[in-house]
Amino acid sequence: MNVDVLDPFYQQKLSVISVLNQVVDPELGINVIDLGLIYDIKIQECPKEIILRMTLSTPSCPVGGIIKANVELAIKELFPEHVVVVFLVFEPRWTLEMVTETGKAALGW
Amino acid sequence: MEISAQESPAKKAILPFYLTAAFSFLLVNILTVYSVEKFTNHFFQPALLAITHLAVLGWGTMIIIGASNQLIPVVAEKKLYSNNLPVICFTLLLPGICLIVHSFWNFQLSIGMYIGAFIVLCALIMHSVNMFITSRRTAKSNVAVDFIMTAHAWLVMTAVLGIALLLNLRFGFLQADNLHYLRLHATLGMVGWFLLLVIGVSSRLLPMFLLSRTENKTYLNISWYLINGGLSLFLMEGLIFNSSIGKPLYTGIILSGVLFYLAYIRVCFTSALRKKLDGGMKQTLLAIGFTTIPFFLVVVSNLYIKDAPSSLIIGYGYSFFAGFISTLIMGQTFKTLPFIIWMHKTNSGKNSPLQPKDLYKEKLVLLQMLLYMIGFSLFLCGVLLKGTYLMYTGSAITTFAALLYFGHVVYLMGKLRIV
Repeated sequence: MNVDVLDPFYQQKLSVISVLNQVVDPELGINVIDLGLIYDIKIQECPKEIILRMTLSTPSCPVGGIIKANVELAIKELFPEHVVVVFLVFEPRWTLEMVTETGKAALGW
Repeated sequence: MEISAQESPAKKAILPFYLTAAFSFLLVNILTVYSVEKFTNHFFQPALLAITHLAVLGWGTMIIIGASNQLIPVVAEKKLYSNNLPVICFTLLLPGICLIVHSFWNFQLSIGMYIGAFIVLCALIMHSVNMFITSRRTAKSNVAVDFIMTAHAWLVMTAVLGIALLLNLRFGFLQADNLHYLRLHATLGMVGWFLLLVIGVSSRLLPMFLLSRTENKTYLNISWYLINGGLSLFLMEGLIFNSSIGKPLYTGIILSGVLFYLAYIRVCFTSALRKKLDGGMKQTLLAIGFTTIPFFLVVVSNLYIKDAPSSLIIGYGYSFFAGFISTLIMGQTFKTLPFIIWMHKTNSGKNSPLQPKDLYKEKLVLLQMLLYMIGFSLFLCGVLLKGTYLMYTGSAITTFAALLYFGHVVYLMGKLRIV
């Protein structure tokens, strides 16, 4: 996942990505960043809010709720002052192109 | 459907079934070693009836009921209707199976046998009702749910026919001989219950585990019609006309249905984003490959104008249940059980460092699979060639594999105690 260096929240977004590297899909054993499940991160200061759009590897993923909750929890631990809102979306559809090279290697490509 | 640890079915609705099934599997293999000589004779005899019922009820059905309580809510995308019905079901099923198996082993058509059969039927109806109500709540049309619900209907019919057979042994009210109805009973159980259920559940789980991008649901729909159509015709002819003249035709229809299912699975595998398979998935793949053996044997048995040799019939039943179903269950145990344990260990508000794959030993799963595959192949060759040395060696190896499997399941469940 790329972050524009000119983004005013560049450092904070890098921190969010870093912490999300620890949130793992329990079935695949791959973190949500390498899987390309995080579509975008928005941070605002007034009001203090972090809004994240993410997807799942399959819409009927039985542990989707747990992954989403773990994402919220990880960000909240890093930014306790912020309200964290996570939206699960299925458009665009998750594809292999969204997976990082590390993720692809873990999937066996 | 998103399931949190709180929404997940209760442990009591799942784990007792897994543990009992793993123990039954070990017992089935021990009894098989003890009764090897019996496998060279006719299939209608006490030891084989006892082992078969312990295998299909104590092992197969027991674990499938436990897994269904976890998986059907996932497939139907709804919460399990009742967490208490599985407890009552287990409480009835366990003594019922013990009574049936004990009575068959000693071939006592005593009151214990009838009570056992009746309470097993009650337990199966109870489980089926729980599944029907859970899946009825789903708004979407879902062919996987259709497979599963039809499988439950066939399960109840299999049990009813089984009880009718038992009553017939005492009162003799059925028109044809017992072996005719025994074939119907066995076919309903194998094809109607096990095969349809496996197709239904795997049609949802395999694409999910493999991250398949394409699924051909038309293949599944055709498969459903062909298998149920073939089985219904087989049952109708058997019950109404007491004959089985059309058996080759029905076998062909059912096999075509299985081929459509295999075509569906092929599409799932070829479009899978996940190329690296874990031990559980490798064993599942092996089980799907094993489907070819019983279906080859059933085609061969249909070539006989009169009754096929007993070794072929036993080989068919053994390869279907010990080859396809047992291999599949062993593999899927280490796909589902670690997940179930992990879900119950994961506390909300805490990001767990442990993952499901950390709860079991991947290498042990592969060792179990290898041993079981060798043992099964030797035993099957022994049955077909009537070679008792092959059968002794094969059953000893499968018993060792079953012992490892049982120990592994106990080890996995022990992880629940560790905080």
